[in-house]
Amino acid sequence: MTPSKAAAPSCRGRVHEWYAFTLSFKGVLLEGLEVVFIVITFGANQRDVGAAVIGAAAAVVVVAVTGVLVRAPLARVPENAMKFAVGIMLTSFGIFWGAEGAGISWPGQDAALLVLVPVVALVALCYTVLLRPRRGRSPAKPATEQVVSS
Amino acid sequence: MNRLRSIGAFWYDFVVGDDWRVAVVVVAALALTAVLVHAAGVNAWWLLPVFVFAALGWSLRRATSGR
Repeated sequence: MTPSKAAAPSCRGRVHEWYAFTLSFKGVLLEGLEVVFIVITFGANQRDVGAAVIGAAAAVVVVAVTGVLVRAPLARVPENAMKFAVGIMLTSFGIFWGAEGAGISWPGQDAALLVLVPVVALVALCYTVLLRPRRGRSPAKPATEQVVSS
Repeated sequence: MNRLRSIGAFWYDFVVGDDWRVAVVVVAALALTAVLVHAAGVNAWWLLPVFVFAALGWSLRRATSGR
């Protein structure tokens, strides 16, 4: 957030805030690329790419409408708290799918996520408490900013 | 050349991320899991979480200690 506040306002063509535009564009492109990978993988696994595409399109509509409706409270969510939550979800699903891709079967199948997500959250919270800079130590960059950047 | 470098930097950031050591540990853990499952017949579902938690702690420790 700090670099965006420090960036000088620049206007290019019909775009009034070039920094905000490029940042949003890169974010949406990156996440969109991930969605494409996931949709193709799920669709190919179930041999029904059409259903996966319809599901993804419906999700885009739901997310866009929700984003517009709750943009005001969303803007008030602390940046690091949002990064922390996203990091927990990405790490949990990454472990789940990564291990499945390596050939394991999770105890409880998909229900294992109901245990895995809270465990990842608990471990992350413990690390946050244990590694928080103490008085007298030079503060480093916040841990969540260092690690969570997908 | 600059564009090629930018594209390379984007993919490095996308695939590897902030700490290459974490990426190495995760790839090694995935490989070890696959070996245990397919060669030894062990359903090692616990192995990847253990490695990820250890790598995360290691990375965070390095990031917060000022190196």
